[in-house]
Amino acid sequence: MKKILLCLMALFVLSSISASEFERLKMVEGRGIKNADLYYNLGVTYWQIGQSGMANLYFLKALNLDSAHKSAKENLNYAIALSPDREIYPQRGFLLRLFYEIYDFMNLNRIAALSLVLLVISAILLSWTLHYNPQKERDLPILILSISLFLLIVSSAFLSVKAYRQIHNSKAVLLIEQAELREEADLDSKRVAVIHEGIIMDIIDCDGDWLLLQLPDGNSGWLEAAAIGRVVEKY
Amino acid sequence: MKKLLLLSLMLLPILLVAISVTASTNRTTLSLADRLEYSIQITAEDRINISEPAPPYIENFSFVNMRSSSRSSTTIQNFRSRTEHVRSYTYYYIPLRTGESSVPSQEIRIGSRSYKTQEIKLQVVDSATSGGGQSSPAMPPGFDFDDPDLPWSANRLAGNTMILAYPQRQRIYRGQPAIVSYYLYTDQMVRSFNLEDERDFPGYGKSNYEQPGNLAYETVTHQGKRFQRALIKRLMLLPNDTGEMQVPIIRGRARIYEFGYMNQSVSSEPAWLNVLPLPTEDMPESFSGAVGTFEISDDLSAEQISLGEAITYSIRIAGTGNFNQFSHPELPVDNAQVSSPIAIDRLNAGIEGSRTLYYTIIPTQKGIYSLEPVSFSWFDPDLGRYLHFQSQPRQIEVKSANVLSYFSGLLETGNPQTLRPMLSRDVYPEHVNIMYSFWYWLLVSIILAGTAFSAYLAWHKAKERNNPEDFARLMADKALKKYLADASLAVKNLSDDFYALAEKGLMKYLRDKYGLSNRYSTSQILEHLRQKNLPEDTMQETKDFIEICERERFSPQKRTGTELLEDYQRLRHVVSLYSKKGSRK
Repeated sequence: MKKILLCLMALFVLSSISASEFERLKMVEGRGIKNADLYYNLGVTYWQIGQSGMANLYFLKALNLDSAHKSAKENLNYAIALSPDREIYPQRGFLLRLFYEIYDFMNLNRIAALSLVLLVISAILLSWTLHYNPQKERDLPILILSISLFLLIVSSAFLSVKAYRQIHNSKAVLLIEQAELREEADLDSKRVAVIHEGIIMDIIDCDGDWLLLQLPDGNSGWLEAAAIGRVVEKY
Repeated sequence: MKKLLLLSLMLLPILLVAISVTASTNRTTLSLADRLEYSIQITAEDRINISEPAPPYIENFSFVNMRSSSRSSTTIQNFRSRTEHVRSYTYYYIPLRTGESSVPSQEIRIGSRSYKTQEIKLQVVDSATSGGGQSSPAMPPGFDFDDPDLPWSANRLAGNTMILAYPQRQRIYRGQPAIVSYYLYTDQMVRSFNLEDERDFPGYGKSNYEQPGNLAYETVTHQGKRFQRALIKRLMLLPNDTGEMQVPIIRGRARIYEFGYMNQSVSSEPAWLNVLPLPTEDMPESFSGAVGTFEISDDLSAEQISLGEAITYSIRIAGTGNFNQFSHPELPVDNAQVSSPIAIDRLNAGIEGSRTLYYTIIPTQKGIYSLEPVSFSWFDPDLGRYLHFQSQPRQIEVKSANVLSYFSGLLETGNPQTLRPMLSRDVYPEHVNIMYSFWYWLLVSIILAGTAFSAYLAWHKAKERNNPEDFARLMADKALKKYLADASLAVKNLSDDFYALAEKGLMKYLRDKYGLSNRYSTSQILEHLRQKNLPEDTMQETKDFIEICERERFSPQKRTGTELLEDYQRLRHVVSLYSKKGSRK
């Protein structure tokens, strides 16, 4: 009996600490502030109070703002590893993981700065090439300029893709304990899959209050919109 | 019509592809002393693929056993061979009370089709009124009662079946896991044992340690008699009190074959353990309740990291003991976030194996961190004393973060084992995307404008290099345009500056056009022009206009607007004379 009482007291203290921190973070978020660390801390707090769906949603929000937020990424991987749906997430090979690591490391600000630097370098190299003595061999400046321009184009393309994906992030997370994806936007239609809280999906289409969602393994089905949280609300 | 009838008759054997399902009993009226044999027989021409039908529930009867058999036979009739496969299932029941009853109709599924057996009425009467004589024993075939290797023999009609509890140790310490084995001892033919109940006593917590799926007999001698012995169950007890402690009593039902099956309820014999208190003297401060035989080791994932990276410190506790009854050691590190330990267990029944505790350390500053020694104490019941583990002091060097720090986890294929803690932040500034800021695009515009300007200069230079005469004419025309515009303005303003501007502009035009040095005076320019065989009237008009300009410069007179305009027209005329001529000939 004593042990139970002690446990209850410890739980109460822990929950009250979490609650006060949680309220502070929610208050900051309520002021409309967008900050990756804020979203990350909210994710950790949601995880501590047992809401894995909201935790994943906030980790994703943190990563949407700053794809290089390592803590958010690791905690998201940790949550996925404990999820009942972990088997349906694709396993990536080393090279693909390396590509995604680099892609994530180059967050929007880093890639914007890199693009600017490459633009300066390209401009200097272009001037150098244009003003180069025509009596001399011009292969070297042209080669260096070509490489620089290629890098600038790649960097600018990544910048555009990242900026677009940040605004149009279609990721969504299941917030309820369990749900069933349907073949059509109708409760009576055939069940496609059973999914659990915290699973990360892509929104493909919308039909009234129903959303067509794609699972990490590529399967898709309809679910009522109220059951999910979106990384970008407007999407 | 006849043809149709004939065809139907021909097809009849095919349509009746012979699968027949029949149900029967050995008797329909039986006494309480008799046994009921209910048989289902399936006959087919093809091989029968069917799962075993469940024994039907028969009111007032108790199911005791079942057996199945199959056979196939081939006969040759009219030079054609015919194979028949027969599968039989026989269920044995014991009547419980007198009265009427029935074997219900059963649905048997074979492939995609289902077959129904007929209902069979039964009547159970007192032994005295039983009509059918001696009941045949429901003895399954295949049992050879004359087998001398078996401990039982055909003439044995009674025997001993019991359960004995054997604690691994009789004397244990409080908190020390104790394993109690329960063996079924029998000299009868016990075919199975169904565990039904466990009766507990105060003073311990328990968990299952082992429970075999079948009875694996071994021959032993108990109190001078030979028995067959099979392990029923092993329980793990964790005593939480001291003194005499009675181990749980297990109870179950043994199915014994003695010319037919019968069930016998069996309970384990009582057994006790003597639980000793842990010694209070020499108890270390870091003792938190661990009792057992342990080996402790620790590990640090890296000793040199970059700021922002995490480091994992792990302690491995391996051996036998009460893994679930002690708290985990603390890891004090200054200026670093340390997670609560995550325990990864490889334990059997919670007492055997290993537990690894993972602590994630995230340094908040660069520098040298000292990892204080971690202490863990436990009581070793074999040695009867407390043992102590203290890790070696370690140092972690935290360097400044670099780009590669981000990719530090790339080669780790496993999933993270801990949740990273919250970040300590007092303020949360609004996230700024630099690509949406004004200055970013201003810089881009400046760079692009600078590039465009540089390209223009390069184009200009290339033009001068490729065709110097055209370029000179172009530049002269450009300069002339400017001076003419200035001169025209001076005329409009009735300014005497007109003559100075006109002379300067004309001379520059001529210098540029004919590639003459800037150091040449007006007279030298005229001399050079003369040498270029220009028409005499052109030269004369130029000389006249220059003289007017020089006169006005050195002895200015007040000129009217009309006079200024006339001189302006004269200037244009002179220029037009040169414009028609080629340059730099």
